[in-house]
Amino acid sequence: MKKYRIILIAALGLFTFTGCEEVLEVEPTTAIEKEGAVVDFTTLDRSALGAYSALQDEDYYGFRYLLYQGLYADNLTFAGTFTTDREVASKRINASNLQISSTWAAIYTAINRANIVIRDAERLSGESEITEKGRAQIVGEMKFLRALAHFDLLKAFGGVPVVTSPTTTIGEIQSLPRATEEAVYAAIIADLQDAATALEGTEGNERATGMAATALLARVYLQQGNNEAAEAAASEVINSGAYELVEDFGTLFTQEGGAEAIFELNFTLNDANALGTASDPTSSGQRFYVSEGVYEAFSAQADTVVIDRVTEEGTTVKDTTIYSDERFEATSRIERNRRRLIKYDDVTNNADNVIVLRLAEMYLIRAEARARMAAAAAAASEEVIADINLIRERAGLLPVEDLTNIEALAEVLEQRRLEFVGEGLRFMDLKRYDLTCDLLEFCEEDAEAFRNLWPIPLQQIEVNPALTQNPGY
Amino acid sequence: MKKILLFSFVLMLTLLQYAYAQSRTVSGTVTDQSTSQALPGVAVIVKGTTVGTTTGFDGAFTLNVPADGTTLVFRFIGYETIERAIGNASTIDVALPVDNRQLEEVVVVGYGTQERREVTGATAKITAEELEDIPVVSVDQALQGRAAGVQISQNSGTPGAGISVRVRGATSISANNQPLYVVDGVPMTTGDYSQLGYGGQTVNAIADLNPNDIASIDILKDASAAAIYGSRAANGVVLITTKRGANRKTQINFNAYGGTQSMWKKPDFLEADEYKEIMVEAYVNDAYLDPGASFEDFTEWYYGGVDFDLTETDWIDEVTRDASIQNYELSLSGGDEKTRYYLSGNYFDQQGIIIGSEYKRYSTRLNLDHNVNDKLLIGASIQLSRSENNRIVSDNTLYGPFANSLAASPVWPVYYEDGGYTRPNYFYTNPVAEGTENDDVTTNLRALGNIFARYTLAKGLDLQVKGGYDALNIDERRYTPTNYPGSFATASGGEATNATTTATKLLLESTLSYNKAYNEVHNVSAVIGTSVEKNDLQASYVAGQGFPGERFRYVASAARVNDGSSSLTESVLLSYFGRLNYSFQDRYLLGINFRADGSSRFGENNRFGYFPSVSAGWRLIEEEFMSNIDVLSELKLRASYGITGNQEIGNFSYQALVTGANYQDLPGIALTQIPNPDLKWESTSQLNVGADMGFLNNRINLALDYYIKQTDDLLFSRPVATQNGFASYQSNIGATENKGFELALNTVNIDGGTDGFNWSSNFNIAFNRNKVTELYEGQDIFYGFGGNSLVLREGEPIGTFYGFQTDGIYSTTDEVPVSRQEQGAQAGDVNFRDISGPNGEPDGIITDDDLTIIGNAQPDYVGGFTNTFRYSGFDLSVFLQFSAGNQIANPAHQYQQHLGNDFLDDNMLSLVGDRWQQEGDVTDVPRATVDDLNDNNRSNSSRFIYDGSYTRVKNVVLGYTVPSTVTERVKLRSLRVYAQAQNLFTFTDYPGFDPEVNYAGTSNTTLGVDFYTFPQTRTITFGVNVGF
Repeated sequence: MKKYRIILIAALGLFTFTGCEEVLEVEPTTAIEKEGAVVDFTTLDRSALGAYSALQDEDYYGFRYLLYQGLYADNLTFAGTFTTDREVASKRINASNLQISSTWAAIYTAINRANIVIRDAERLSGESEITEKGRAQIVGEMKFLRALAHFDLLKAFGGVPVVTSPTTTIGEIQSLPRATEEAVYAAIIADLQDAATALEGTEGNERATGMAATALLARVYLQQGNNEAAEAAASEVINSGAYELVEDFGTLFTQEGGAEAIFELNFTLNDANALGTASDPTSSGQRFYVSEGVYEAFSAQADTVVIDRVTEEGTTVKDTTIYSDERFEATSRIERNRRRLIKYDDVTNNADNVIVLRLAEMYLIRAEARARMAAAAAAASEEVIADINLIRERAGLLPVEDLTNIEALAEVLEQRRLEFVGEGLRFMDLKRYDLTCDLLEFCEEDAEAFRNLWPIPLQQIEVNPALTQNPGY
Repeated sequence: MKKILLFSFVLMLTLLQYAYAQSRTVSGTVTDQSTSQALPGVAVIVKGTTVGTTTGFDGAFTLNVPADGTTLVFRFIGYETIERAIGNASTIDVALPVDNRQLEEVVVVGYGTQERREVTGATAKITAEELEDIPVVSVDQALQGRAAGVQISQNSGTPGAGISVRVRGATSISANNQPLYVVDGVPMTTGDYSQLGYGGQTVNAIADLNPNDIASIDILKDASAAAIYGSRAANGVVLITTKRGANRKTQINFNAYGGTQSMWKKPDFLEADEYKEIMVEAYVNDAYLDPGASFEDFTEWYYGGVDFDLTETDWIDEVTRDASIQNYELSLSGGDEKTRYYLSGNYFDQQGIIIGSEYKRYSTRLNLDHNVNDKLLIGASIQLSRSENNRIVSDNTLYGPFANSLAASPVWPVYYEDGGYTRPNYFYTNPVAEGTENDDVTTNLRALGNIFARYTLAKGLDLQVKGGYDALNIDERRYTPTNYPGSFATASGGEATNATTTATKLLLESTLSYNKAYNEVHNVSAVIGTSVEKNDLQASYVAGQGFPGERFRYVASAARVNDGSSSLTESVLLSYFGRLNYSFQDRYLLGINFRADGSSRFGENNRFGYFPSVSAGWRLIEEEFMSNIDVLSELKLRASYGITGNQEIGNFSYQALVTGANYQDLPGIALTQIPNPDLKWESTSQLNVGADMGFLNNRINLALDYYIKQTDDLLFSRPVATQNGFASYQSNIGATENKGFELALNTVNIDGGTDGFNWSSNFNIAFNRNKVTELYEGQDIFYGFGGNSLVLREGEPIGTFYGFQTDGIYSTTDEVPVSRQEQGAQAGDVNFRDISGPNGEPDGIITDDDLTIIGNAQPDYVGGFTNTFRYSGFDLSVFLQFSAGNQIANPAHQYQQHLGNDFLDDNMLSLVGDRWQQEGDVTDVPRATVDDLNDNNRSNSSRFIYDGSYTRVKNVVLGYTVPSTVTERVKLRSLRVYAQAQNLFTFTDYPGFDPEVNYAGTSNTTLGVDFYTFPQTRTITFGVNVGF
């Protein structure tokens, strides 16, 4: 009997606390399992916000991708210690550059999130879960995001894999090769046309709208060389009347969500970017400043007009008026001997919005498209001059007159440079104008023209051997 | 599972035998032969039976001897076993001689103890005596060089910082390489739970444990010893046993020491005149300034003029100091037959040698044991501590006082005339301000303890139930004011953060142990048990910006409370384990360990991991054929094989996780992790063979071990083409291997008796060969500065440096190949080696194709050598510690030798005085250039790789014990005074501050990289030990 008692006591002692394996079922508290996460329009809409959130990444519009468009050109300079940034600043990017790799990854993260939302939107069914209108809206917005991201890749890397189906499990991992530039353009344009239709009549500027899709189409067509379509799309946006040029250029960056913005990424204290501190010379770190070239360009814009005026007394005096570019002081100022970019200057909350598309660009796209379609040496049409002068006069400059088309194109480029410093257009513009040899020394004869495209990240070629490197790297 | 355990348990019970024979009574007293004091707890056994008892507190015993009993056996740990014929005697008094054989020491193993001769695994023991007098904050620091095969690296001189401990090399790349620490049977929360960034060095949760409370430390190195800790044992197990009371009059001990620490080496930096010359030279060389330009021209060009008079400042002196260290401790221990206790209190205070850093600890411990009756023992071990750590940002940072002091320009003053701080560098801030004006206070509250009850079910059969608790609360406060230029809080008007982290561990465990000798020939000891362990990590923080002034330093005064968070992470471990040891005639030994661990971290397809081990020993010394070899006093061969695991794979790594991703201040969600239901632990199999030898009655002891440790299923972020929207998912891919040889030699060189001259030595050395044997598809993994200054590559060790090989400096233009001139190289530039090109052969230019392996941080061997001398009342101990063959990368030298490069205005090491200046100069330092078209200063070049071998006189202690004739007169039990020196001498060729360095703290894969790291110190202390 005694033995049994001992067994009983011992067994009780051993197994009292460790009875069940359910204790191993532990759930995270700051995340949930994918299953059951999206079940209706409300949760679908939240996952759509999650896709917008991907655009805010510091490797994308939240900082580096955006500023690299000026740095890997002639609008911005760099002072700091990171090799990755220095390579971009010196325009000698190695394929092993981890920042380029991170940027590639950040952009595709946005694409994958959009693809997940599109699939979830198509999975939901029944009025209780989603309406057809709701589905169309979410799918349209996601197609806009997907097109924007693919175009941002195209601008920097050339033909890239076009990803249209989501990855959520190990089984869904894809190893697509690069598509041709034409195929990427076709995918972007198809997505944007779908989005423009699906989102027709939607309003606002912090989420994608039909007009945002059309505006992006204008940009895409122009870059592609389809000037006719670019003109049409830009006109459609201008003529919609949904947007107007703000009177004071400076308010574009001080008053968020203004009348000119077509698509503007909303940053707040809670999802801050790093743009404000990126150019703040009073604190330490990796710093991006406005280039000397931009300063010279702004200075060159100043027109001094002298008018002889007859006074009441009958004498003639000379009145001097200086028409200087009002955009200058809204773009940069000297601090600590450095040229700080002040379009993004919220160093307190780092909540500067980023304007992705605005009306001024549409006027310049239309002017450029029209000038390109006309004979180079011929006089530019009145419409072209008018569009350019809208931008010039808003900036406080005198209107231009009597330009040939080739001069008009040069003027458009100059206005784009001064208008959009730090807004992510300069590198794309120089490529479209075929000026990267003259201005950036990416010349054929030196075997440097390959630098018009960034290298495909080395790590990605290793992981996905279907990817091929851009020539020259 | 349960059924198997229960079945084996029943089997064991049926082996129990009971003897009820009746006969006469024998009594007596057992004493220590040398002191004649009574010995309690001595086992008195009738030979050939299981009849026996133990002596009481007065050494007395009474035993009923069966009719056939002829002989009594007296056994006690630390004493020789004595046999006495009973004959007709009714009283037998015995004086036990102390067993001088050191091998008889008691070794703590998982869930029990063994005598050294019975041990079949590879373990190392460090006792309290080896640790005392050494001024260290945490016990892991004191282990350095003490045990063969345990490589300890302090990484920096930061007070209270994390220490790298590698038992037989690093097994893991992405999990954890630190061993499991078990304090009095309860696994300890270790690691760094800080929520704020400090640049490099981590904090060390082990520092909460007062080293002086520790009685012994046993390190389980091979799989047989460690497998009973299963999924946490792959990196070895450190078993810490704290001091407990004994059945004796209360003893009071008071220990105190105090002293100073200082920098033991200060590399030369440029003086102001040399600095000015080089800066101007660089700007003239690249035509930013005209030839003949002055330094004022430079300041005009660079800063737009300066608003102070140029001066000369030694910035390192400005931020370093001779720092104090002190420790006070009072302990009481004693008890009676039923109740025993140990009680201690400790205060430790260590200033850092860099201004702004200090670590203080207050701790108290109570260990209590009580015999409720002769079957039930209850006990508790409880420590409470509080530590206050004033931290500084260091290593990889723009805001560290030490880092910035190396970068600050020597021509700037610390302060303007009006008392305001200057900003003596374009990129960084004023180092003095960083060390003075910021608050970075971390306060730890720690409660660590366990309670247990042990019930003797039958003789030799004990059931123990234990509850353990380890609560670590970390409160961190940071405040950054705006009262110095460049403060990162300038724009926000001052910033404050308060972060609170609570890491809680709850353990409930029950074990059943059985020990029995059959016929004096068969010895069986066995343990089975279960445990459940629950870990909670709660973290929260709040941050605010905009403060009315420097006198407001808490978030309460912030104009904007702009950030906050809270979270809870749980993990659970459910385990079943057992151990069986069998020995035949003390000659043939066999051990079997087993553990099954279920973890909430493992994927649903792999919930339980199983970790078995087996070991065997053969004590040849007990064989007949050895009996006439007198010179040998011990000879044992050991072999073991087993499997252990590593479950530090992160929580929820196997799940598909959807987390918050907000936009427009509206709640958004996004999938952020690809699931892997197969995810599991890393698995390490280890083979160990060894021998223990004793010569000349064990005056010489030698232990040799050889091991092969193979780790598979490494936790690995398996790369996914990021065009999928994810960079990786967690999986088990890859393998590492550690092979090595260890030798530990302890000798008594001169034994002059109690008052004569005594000299003994301990020497240990370990050779470990680490290598990565398998990576995902054989692909290299690059990391480190610039993303490729370190590489993980199959066949190479962890910590392999990668970069460009350099072949000196081009002395003349003719030496520069034309193809390289086209790349911008000229005389005075670094000659990087052209190793390869796009076609796999040298192409005349330097590109990423020329990257190659340029060194590694793994030492060829490490070890320690202690010599202890005693004469009369004097004792002297000299401890050397060494590491050979390891290399150090110092990428900070790209800045500290910038020579104008990239518009830096940092000060430079004075070796740049030897720079190339004109055609024909032969030197190993390149020319001064701003544009640096040849990229001389790329950080990943062999120019900045150095030999990191060193030998260090780690500790010297000279003590004097006042003779007892004197102390008795003043009513003291004992009195000793001593002087101690730590890091007294270091022999090394490393040109940096200290060869024992790692900017990445306790990182798994970044080893031996120096990047503005807080240097180690030389510490001189004086102390006293008083016994009442």
